[in-house]
Amino acid sequence: MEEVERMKTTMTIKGTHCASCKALIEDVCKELDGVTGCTVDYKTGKTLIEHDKELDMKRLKKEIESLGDYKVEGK
Amino acid sequence: MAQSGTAQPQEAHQQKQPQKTLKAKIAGMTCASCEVLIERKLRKLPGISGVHVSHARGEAELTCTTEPSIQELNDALKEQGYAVTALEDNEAGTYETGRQETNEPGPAAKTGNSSTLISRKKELVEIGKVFFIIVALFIILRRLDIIPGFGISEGMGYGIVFLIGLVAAVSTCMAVTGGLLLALSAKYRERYPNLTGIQRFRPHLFFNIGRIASYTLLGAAVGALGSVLTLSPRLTGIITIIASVAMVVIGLQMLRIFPFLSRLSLKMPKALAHRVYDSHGNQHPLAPFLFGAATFFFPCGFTQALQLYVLSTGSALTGGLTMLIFSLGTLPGLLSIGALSSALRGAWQRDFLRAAAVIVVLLGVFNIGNGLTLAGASVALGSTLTGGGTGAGGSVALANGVQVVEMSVRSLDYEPAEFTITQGIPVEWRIDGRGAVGCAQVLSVPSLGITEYLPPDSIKTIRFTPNKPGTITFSCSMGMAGPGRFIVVPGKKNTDTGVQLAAAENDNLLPASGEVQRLQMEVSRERGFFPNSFTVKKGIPVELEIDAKIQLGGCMGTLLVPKYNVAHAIPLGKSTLRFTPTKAGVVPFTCSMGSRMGEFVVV
Repeated sequence: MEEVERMKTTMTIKGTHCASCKALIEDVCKELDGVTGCTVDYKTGKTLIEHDKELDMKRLKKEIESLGDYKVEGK
Repeated sequence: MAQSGTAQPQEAHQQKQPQKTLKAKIAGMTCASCEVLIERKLRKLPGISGVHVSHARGEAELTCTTEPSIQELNDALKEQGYAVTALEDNEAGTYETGRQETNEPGPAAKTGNSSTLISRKKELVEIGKVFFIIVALFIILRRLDIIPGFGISEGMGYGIVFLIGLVAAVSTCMAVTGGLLLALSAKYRERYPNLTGIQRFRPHLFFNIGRIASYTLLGAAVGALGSVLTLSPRLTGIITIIASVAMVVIGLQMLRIFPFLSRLSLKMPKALAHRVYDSHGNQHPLAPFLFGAATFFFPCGFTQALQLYVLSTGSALTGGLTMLIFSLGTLPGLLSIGALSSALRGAWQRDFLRAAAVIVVLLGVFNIGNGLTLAGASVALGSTLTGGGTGAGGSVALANGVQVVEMSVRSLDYEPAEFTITQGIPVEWRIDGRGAVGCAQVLSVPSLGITEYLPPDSIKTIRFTPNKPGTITFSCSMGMAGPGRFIVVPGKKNTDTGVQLAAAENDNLLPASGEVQRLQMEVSRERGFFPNSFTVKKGIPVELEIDAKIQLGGCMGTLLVPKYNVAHAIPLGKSTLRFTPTKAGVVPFTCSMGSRMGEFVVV
């Protein structure tokens, strides 16, 4: 098996206010191609994404923001 | 067809159903994120082709080819903390859960007694019970006269101030401040269901810190400036109404009786909401702090009375200290709301939220009545609740061509509070005000222009003649007691003149001698009541011309000379208060709640 290079990216998502937001965003992110892990702290909005090197960040951002009143900041 | 062992009656129509719509009741949803999350989860289930979730109604509409069981739905949502409580066949239009709910213990029933399948009907019955219990408690407490008659007077110790605080927090202040606090903390719980008890308690802490800080500072300010920071009765009334409507809406939202109300949620503008809530994930501590600080201006009789007392002391130190101690006194009552609402969990939490919601709605309705009375509308909304069951109306005896009406005042209640009188026949209204407390000692009949002091030791008689059919409402000077009302029915004869006001018995005003002592007093924001000490001679009528530069609010709107049973409503501008001192000594004058404003020294 070919070793895929993994990366970790942190970003801040504004607008997360409850556990459902956390669950929802994590759920959606993990389904995206190239994302292997996602942890959201809904209190601070800090989100850690584990992903392959090639990841369409724009698409990720769009997906998250389309879920509701969220705003992705940082990378 | 993963039917679990639970009883499901739909085997009969389960085969060969191409498409079916079902409604599932889902507990635990708080926001739009929940909707999206649940929709995503349920769509993944086999046989389900469409899902539409509404957190406002707490239900999901499922379009499916094979009908899922409650168990399956629960399994899919369990991880996220939601519980499916009922499944309804949309076409049949009835709740299938109604018949079988008792033998279906779902996963969310771990808290015990209640079955998972709570049908709407059952929920309403439960809310009804809670409602009944609380109304009963309310009536019993009113009957027991829990509001003691504290006199707020000069030279009272700080111990008394603390006691007043204790009482205020469980009586009048509880009605508005406590009610709103309860509503907001319950809402906060719904929003952040996963917080620990301590985290939930945090906003209460900030609320009370804000409250104490603002009371101390503003108390000192009032003392130093010698002016009142209360608002006009009309404005107080309007604020009361706005706060009360918010309370009713929040309460009904919490009860979920009217699903459409959830959509009407009190949302802050997004930019502000982000600042208050989301930037820290949690509610910003400043929000409850500011809310607590704002309670200084909330309509509460005790708070206003103390503000006036502080005003009369004219010292920043005394003012600040008095209000500090008062707010400390209210601490146990208000903090216990916080502690209670933070500590409860599980089944208790649901019951608490429900009881809180009912109390909030009731207080809201009650306050709207007060607010309307104050704002000048003659709507007897509160009387059905506060009249203490004397709905039948008082007896009216006809003697010597006069309608004799007897009424007594107990704490803040008029008993009876409603009379039916006949147009055109003079009314002799005998009022036993010996049990009246606070502002109830002043009776105000706005439509007749009557403002009368009810002496604490005798019966007051007020005479008037109703000249047209309709309703005449009366209340205390602050709108807290009452309203009570006269219903005037058409008489046989019509009288042509307007309302005839005979002087009340106790007011022996203006004897025939031409000599009058004329005095002047100015009421302004800068100087308060100025001057507030007068020297007069006994036996000669006194005319005090009051020039109010500002609109006076709350109990300040009425000036009393308790020794001579004089009550004088102070309008904006000039008005005259008259009485005749009969004995040498000091005759204080006070606001309608008994707070001392100044004195006449009779020589």
